[in-house]
Amino acid sequence: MKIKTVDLTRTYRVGPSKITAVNKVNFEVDKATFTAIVGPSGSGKSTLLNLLGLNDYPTSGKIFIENTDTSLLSGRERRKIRLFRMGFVFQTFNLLPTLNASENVELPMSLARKSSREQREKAVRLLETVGLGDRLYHRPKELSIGEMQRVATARALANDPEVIIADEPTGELDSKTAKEIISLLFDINRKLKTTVIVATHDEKIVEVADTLCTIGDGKLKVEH
Amino acid sequence: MQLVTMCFRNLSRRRLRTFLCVFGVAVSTCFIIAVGATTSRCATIMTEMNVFFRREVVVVARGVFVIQGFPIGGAIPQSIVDDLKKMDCVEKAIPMLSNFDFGPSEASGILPVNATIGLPVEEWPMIIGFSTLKPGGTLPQTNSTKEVIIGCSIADQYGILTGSKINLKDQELTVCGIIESPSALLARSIIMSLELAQDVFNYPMQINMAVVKPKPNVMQEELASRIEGEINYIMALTENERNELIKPVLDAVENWNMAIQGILFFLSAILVAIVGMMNTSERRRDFATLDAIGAPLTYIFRVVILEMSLIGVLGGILGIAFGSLAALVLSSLYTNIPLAQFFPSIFEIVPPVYMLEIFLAVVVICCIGGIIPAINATRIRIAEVLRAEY
Repeated sequence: MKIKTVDLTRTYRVGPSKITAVNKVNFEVDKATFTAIVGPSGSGKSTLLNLLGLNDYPTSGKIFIENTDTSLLSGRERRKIRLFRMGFVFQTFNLLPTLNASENVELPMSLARKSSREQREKAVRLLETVGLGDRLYHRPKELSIGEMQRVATARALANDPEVIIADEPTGELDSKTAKEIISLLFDINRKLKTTVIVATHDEKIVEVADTLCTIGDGKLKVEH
Repeated sequence: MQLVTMCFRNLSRRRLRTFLCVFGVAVSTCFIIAVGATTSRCATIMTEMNVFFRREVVVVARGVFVIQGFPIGGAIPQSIVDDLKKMDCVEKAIPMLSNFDFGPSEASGILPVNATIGLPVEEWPMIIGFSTLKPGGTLPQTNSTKEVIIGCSIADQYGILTGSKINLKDQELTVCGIIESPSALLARSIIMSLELAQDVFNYPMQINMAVVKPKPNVMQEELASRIEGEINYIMALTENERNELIKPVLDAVENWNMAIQGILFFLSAILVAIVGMMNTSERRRDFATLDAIGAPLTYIFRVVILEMSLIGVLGGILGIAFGSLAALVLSSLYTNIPLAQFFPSIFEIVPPVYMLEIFLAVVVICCIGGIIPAINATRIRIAEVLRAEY
C-alpha cells in the first residue's frame, strides 16, 4: 500500500493554547517498504501514526492511500480500510482481556465476516507463526508481555493487511523480546510484502528500516 | 466468536456489579409480577361476580355497598319478592341472601375468603351454571334441608368430602356436593337453601338481594326504573349500573398497577444505564481498540446493548420466578388459603402470557437503558483514548 501525505497538520487545543503535534508533513511510504519514524516523546510520532492509520482526522492537509484522498471518505469507508487493509500493533498491545489469544486474533476476521472455520484455522496458523501455538487458549493476563505483543502482531495480520502500523511495539518489552518482535515485523515485511510503518525509539528497528524518518516538534525529516 | 459469549465474559469481569444490577432488575420484576398478578386477579374476580346475573336486575337495600352483583351486608324484607313478582314486566324474581367472609383481618381484606349464598334450591342452576359436582355429589331436593354444596377450593383446604359434616355458625351441615369450577367465587362458595341461610345468619324472613329477570322485550333500564318507582328503600341495579359502580375501583386498581410498573421499569432503566455507563467508561480502551481495528459502530453499539439485554434476561427470569412465588404468597395471605393449595393454579394467578409480556418488557427496558452507554461507546475517539494510555 502506498501512502502519501500533503501538508499534513494536526493541532490540539489545550486550554487557551494550541499545540501542533504534526506540522505540514509531506512524505511518502512506498509499497512493501519498512519505514521507521523516530523521535523523542511528545514529538508527534503517535499522532502521525494515528493520522496515517485513519484513526484521527487532520486539522489540515491530506492523506492519500493509493491516490485516494482519505478526507473524502466516510467514517464507514475509513473503518473498512482499517479492517481490511491495515493492521495495528500498539505499544500497550490493546488485546481484549475477556478473549483468549485465539479469539483476539479471530476478532478482525469475524468483523470481516469470514467463516468460523476460516477464522479458527487462520488464527491457529498465525499464532503458530509467532511462536504461540501452545498458548491458543490463554487469556492476555495469562501471557507474558512479549507473548501479548506477539498475539497483537498476529491479530494485525489476521485480514492480510497491506500495511502494518506499529506504534512503539517494543516500548514495553525487554531487549530479547524486543528483538524477536522486530525480527517478526521484518519477516512480515520481507516475506509477505506488507508495508510496515513503525514509530520507535529502538535502535535495532532503525537499523533494519528501508526508510528512516525523524520527527521533532511536529516536523518530519526523511533521513534515508 | 459468538457475540453473546463475549458479552457474558465482559459482564463477568465485574461480577459484583453485574450481580447487583441483575438483582435490582429482578427485584423490580418481582414487584411488578407480584403486584400486577395479585391486583389483576382481584379485578378478574370482581368482574366475574357480575357474570352470574347478566341481563338481570339486582335489587338491594338502598345505600348498601355493592361489589358487582353482590351487596356487602344490607337487608330487605323477603316480602318484596312477592311485590316484584306481581309486576307485569317481571318474569321471575329470586330472593337471595349472600354473605361474604373477609377472613380474620377483615379490615385489610380486599376480597372475600369465603362466600355463602342462600337461594331457593330450584334456582341453584342460576349460580352453578355449567359447573359440575364431583362424583357422588347431588343437589338437595327440598328447601328445608340442612344440606349444602361447597366449592372445591374450600373442600381441598379443609379436606372435606361429599357427605362430610361441616360446622357453620354453630350449625352442623351436610356437604352433599362439591363444585368443580374454575370460577374463583364458586370455588370459595358455600351454597345453601335460602331458608337455611336465613337460619344460619339470623336473617328471619329477610334477604339482602333479589335477582329480577325482565319479561322478553322489557329493557333492564325500564324494569329497574319501574321497580325503584314502585318500591321504596331499595336500589334496582342493571348490569351496566353494576359495572359502573365497580368501574372506579377497577380503574384505580389498573392505574395504580400501571403507575407501579412505570416507576419500577423506569428505575430499572436508570440502574441499567448507570451500570452500562460505568462499564463503558472503564472499557474505553477496549472500545477504542475495536474501533481502531475497524469494527463497525453498529458492532460496538450491539456489544453494549446485548450486555444490557443479558442483564434484562437474567433479571427478568429471576424476577418472574420470585414474583410468581410472591404472587402466590400474597394470594394466600389475602385469602387465608394455604400456600400449597395455590401451587397447582400458579398459571391462573400468573398467566404465562403475562409472564412473557413482563419478561419482554424488562428486556426491552434494559435495552433502552443501554442506549446512552452504547452511544457513549461509539463516540469514543480512538486517538484520544489510545494516546492517553502512553
